[in-house]
Amino acid sequence: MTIKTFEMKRFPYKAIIGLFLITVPFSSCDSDLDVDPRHVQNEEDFLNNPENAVQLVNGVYNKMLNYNMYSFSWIGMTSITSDDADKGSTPSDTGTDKHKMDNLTFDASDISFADVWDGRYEGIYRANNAIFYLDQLDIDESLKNRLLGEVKFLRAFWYFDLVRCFGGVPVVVEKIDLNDVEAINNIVFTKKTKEEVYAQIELDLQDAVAALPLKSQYGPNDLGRATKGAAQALLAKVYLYQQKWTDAYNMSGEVIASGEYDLMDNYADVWREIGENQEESVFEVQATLTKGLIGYTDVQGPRGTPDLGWGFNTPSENLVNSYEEGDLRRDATVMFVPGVLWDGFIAPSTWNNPRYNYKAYQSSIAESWNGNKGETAKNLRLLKYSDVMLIRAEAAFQAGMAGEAEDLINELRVRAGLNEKTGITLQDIYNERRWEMAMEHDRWFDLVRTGQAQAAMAAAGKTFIPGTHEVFPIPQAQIIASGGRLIQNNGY
Amino acid sequence: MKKTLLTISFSLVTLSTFAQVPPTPLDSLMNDSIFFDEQLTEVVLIGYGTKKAGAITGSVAQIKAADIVRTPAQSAIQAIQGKAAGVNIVTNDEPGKQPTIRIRGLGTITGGRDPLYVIDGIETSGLNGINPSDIATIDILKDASSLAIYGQKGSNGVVLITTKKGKRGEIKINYDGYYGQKFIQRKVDMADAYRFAYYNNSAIGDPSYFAMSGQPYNTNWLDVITDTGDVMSNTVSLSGAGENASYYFSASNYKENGILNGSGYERTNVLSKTEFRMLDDRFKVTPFVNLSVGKTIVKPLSAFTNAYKQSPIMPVRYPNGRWGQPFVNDEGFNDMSGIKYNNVANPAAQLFYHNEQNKDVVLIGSINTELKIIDVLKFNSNFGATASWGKGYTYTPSRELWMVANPTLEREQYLEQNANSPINTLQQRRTTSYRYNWDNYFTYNQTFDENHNVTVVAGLSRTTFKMDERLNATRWNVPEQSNYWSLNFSSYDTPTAPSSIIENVVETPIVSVAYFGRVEYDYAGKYLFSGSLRREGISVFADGKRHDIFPSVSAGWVVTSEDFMNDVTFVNSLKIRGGYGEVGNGATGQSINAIQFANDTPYPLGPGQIIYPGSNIPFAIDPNLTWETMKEIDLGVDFTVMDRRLSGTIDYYRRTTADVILPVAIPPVLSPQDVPLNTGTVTNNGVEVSLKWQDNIGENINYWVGGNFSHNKNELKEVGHYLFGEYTGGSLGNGQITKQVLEGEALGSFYVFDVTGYDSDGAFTYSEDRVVAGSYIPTITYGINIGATYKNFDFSVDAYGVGGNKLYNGKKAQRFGGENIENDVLDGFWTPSTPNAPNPRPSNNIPVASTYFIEDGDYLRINNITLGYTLPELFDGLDKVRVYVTAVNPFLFTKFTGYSPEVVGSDNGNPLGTAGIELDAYPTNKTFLFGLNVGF
Repeated sequence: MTIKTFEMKRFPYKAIIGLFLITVPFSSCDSDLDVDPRHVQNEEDFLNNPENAVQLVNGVYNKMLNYNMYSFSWIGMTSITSDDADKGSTPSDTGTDKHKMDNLTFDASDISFADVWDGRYEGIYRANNAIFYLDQLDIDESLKNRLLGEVKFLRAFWYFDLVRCFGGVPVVVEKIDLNDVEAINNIVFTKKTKEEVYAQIELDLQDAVAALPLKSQYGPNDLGRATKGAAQALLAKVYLYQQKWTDAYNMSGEVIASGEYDLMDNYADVWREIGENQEESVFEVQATLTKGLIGYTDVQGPRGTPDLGWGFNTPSENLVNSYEEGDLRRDATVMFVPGVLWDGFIAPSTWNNPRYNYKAYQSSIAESWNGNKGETAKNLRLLKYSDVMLIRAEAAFQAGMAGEAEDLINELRVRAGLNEKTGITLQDIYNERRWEMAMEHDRWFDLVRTGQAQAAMAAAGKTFIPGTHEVFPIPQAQIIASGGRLIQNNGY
Repeated sequence: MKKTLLTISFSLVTLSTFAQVPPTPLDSLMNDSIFFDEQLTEVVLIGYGTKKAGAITGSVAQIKAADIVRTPAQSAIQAIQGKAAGVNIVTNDEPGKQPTIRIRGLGTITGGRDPLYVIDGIETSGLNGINPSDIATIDILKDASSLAIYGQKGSNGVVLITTKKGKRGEIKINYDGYYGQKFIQRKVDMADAYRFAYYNNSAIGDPSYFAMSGQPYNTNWLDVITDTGDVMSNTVSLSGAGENASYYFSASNYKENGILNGSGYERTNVLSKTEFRMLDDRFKVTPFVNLSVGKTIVKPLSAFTNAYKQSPIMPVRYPNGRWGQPFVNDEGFNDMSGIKYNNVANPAAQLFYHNEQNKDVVLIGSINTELKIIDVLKFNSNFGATASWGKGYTYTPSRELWMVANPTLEREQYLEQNANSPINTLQQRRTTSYRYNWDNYFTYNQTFDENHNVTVVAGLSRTTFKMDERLNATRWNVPEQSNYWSLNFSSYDTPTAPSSIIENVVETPIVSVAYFGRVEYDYAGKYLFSGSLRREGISVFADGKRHDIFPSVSAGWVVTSEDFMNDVTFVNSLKIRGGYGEVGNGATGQSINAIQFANDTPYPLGPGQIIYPGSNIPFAIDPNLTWETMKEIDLGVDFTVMDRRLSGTIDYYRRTTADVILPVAIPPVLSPQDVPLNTGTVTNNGVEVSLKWQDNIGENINYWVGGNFSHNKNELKEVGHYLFGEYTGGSLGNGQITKQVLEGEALGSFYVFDVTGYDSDGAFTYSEDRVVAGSYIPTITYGINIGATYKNFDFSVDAYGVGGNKLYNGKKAQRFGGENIENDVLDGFWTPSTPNAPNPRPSNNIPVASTYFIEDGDYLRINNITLGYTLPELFDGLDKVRVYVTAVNPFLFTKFTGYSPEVVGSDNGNPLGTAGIELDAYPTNKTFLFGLNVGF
């Protein structure tokens, strides 16, 4: 074998070889594999910027706008189930499982339960992450405390939704490593008792009460953040659900005594745009055009021509008939079709249902509107001053202070255009709560908590099974994901 | 002229050591001017090199130009359906779309399911607009011993595409053109107005909700939204070679109007490949460039589902010109002042108002240089890159759409009822994308003592991809005429939230760096050996988890080269081979495996509800995430017997993919979005057989009969990760899911309730638990190719079939209420007097995902029938004139009752998406065309 050499004069042969060999070391080395992220920020860069603390907490609030928080599934579970509302829409449109919510024939595989469960735990995931990283960010201590208080308030709110819906659920209050099998088994896949869940909620809310400023102490651009009053109001409600009457009485008293809140003159204004963040508002989901509440008004909007929505969750005849003669709250809660709406919009007979939820009505001519029905600017009221008054009234009554209860109830009755009442009974307080808070997603829980559910459902022509229907089934997918460690609720 | 060509091709068979699959007369007939320069022995591409077909020790299928262009298609991949064993191709006839290709089953679920494409040295993720007529060969590397040299890129197979090059001699000009018409291959028979009313009245329980007689309309929606499509292609190429250079240049235009009204695709290509030889051919430089300009007019595929569901009693338009809506009046007639009875759009209006267009410019190019340093040592440096630029717009006439939905309201009322709402919106989109690979390697080849032939390759490869960026912007109220559709024409200047108006994302690139080496040795063409190693690192994994080594070994024994075979005349060639290899897959669906803070969760605060930025961590990560590894043993036999009339290849393989990366849904409190985890082990075991008989009868008739068959069993062998719970998919968008990943079953298996009978109301009763109801992945695929030439005529038939797969008739199962139904559902449904009818009583309940909707997906389709005639030489200088007629997909044999048994599904055939579920699917077409091929 001979190696043939050849003429080099014609061409810069060596130069070419050299050129090739030079390219080789340039083409690759292992440090090239450390690529800086471009589409997202990495942990190190994020923690280097203290301004991210506020952004992180804003990101927790943002969860409230998602579809699986307060939209179709939540509406179905909390309202269509109750005697305040019917499924609505047209007979042929079931809304996936909303007919089953209406008839109390649901089961663990229904999508509504999965949505509501996932939504809350996704929020809790964001809250736990925020707390984990807030600790590591180098920011002013008082701001850090406030931000931690805001996050704990939100986390408590979501556990409150979970315990009301599902009873005892897993309580996760920290960031858990995916490889920590033991923690996942013991914490994520193990149900705590209802009492333990409430204990965690109280803990978070007590921290929030201590850390948060009053509504008036916030800067103007922070309007909408969780306040001390909001934390106190929620804590009072949490006490009420546990029948801790004295605690509920005292805590709601704090909100009232703070002087930060009041009733609006016109009940109908509370749920309109002009009522947003006004004196009666204690805590609400902030929504604006292009960053709005997903699906809330669309699901409940009038169905037909003109097409304003899907027409679900329509106020029931049972609710309409329950009001006393002359109660202004009836026509502020129930939109009767046909007719003329408050903004002048004609409600025509081409709409498919006789009634719609007026509180969910988003005016396209007198309120912020950009034509996107699926994401609207309506703020969702989660805690109202009137709710706090009702908590105080019920707790006072239960604690033997009927007189104080009567004063509070009458304040609400007068605003509603009704006469004052004397010799108030517990049932009167329950009724008042129903009318004041109708279609606001509390009715089902109130019926269950006060032991009226079976009778009320029977009156509405549905069968409430005691021992089962007090809580909803845990979503089937979660039970499977846990490898059977999560135990299904009784009767499902 | 033709006769000489045939002689060339047959002599070629004789000359080569042996060909894996001998060429057919068509190969020469259709590629005379370009293909056979300097390639008298059949050469097959392997990674970073070539090899004589006879010396191959792995499993490689080669498809030649004649087989590619014989089925005129926009995509060359479509054209090779049924022509290579173990290669499963699912047609997608939507204009401009690519078919799905799966080589030897499916090893994983996440991003990396597609093979790697290498076009003249350019690594790409697809064909990137290459015109099928410019392709000389497609080599498909199938087994792990062949793939290991590609490391992490090779786990789904590698498709090597070589474009044509010029042949020494005068300039050749070649023209190829065809024109054809396209039709829906089959339609589904839907209920008419009477039957619609009858069924839905029964479902609602009101015998007069819809009037049973006197309905003024009886609309066939599928006919309304579809029309005959057409396709036209013209290619002109120029090629040749001189002493120091060869050149191939081609320009082509492909244009298609889809069967869905308004949909279309057009592509113009310019390709140039030039080889310069210098220093007595020791130094070669081959610049290659292909520019492709594509335009797609997109129409929503949901129009097909809407046409299926929309009621026949609804008109396309009312007599006053307003669009029909699903409104019924008290008399039970469709009437614009009635109430709404279903939520299905008017598909004709939907198509009419959907204005979307995308234009893409894709430029792929490479410079391959080869330097022979000394006779036995050469150095190659190949740089390949793909750059693409896309622009698109969507114009949405909000006011017109509102008028469609509200047929009794007037145009003027829109703004009265929708203050501050857009009259229309215009979205403009821009994308750029870039990727490159740079491979440098040395090849040493020497023969010692005549019989010991050694080849050593060593080099490195660097790839950077996903250098992508997109910019989208939306504004309101531009003029209606399309010539004014730019954002500056917006007459609406109120500022709105920036995040929803302008979106700009720069992706994180993925880098991989690899060192590789291969040793090949053969002894006297008898004993063949090959071994390779590749060490690779990829930036997607965390430090410490990103490197791995992928080895392979293979060997072959050419039995017919042994002396003792000299007397065996029956067997012309026989080779036994076997190999083992390991290949990685680093596609996790994420660019980096690190905690990521996304900035997409803002929240409005303050009295003016200003939107403030908000961050969150969309998903948790497992820092231990690392490579999927595919390991495979392949045993094979290649043979030609009976005077080379019968040739064949048989392969048996066992493939195991370990540490499969699955996006696992874990409890939302741990991660709201799925987390990629090394989860389990998937096996694909199978057999592939290709056979071809080729002979002549007398002097004038040459014929061949070929076929291939493959059987593959896919199974999720075990689930390794603790957090792997219920991993479901196949959502129908109505709360029903149809698939689940289950240990012991194929990926993408249907998992639905079994229908056990009827209850007293005629509704189905179901099994307590879900049952496995098969997978959409076929266990059997086969192709048949038959052809003959008689004098100047050529004739061929190709067929393709699959078996053992199930399909879910998703459009039938997506009922909410008030929709139309298939005619045969009414031919037999449950009533008290027909308790054994095949269909349940009419109902508006959302159908439970059940075995009722599962159907056999087996089919056999005649892909192609072609009859061609080559004119006798007309005058000097005219080499060839061939005319042909082709029927593409003329016949289909299947039990499936939907439009098409080939259902690609969403997300490029994601097994847990709608793959195998007929929902919003584009029906397969049949095409009849006429073509002309002229060579000067």
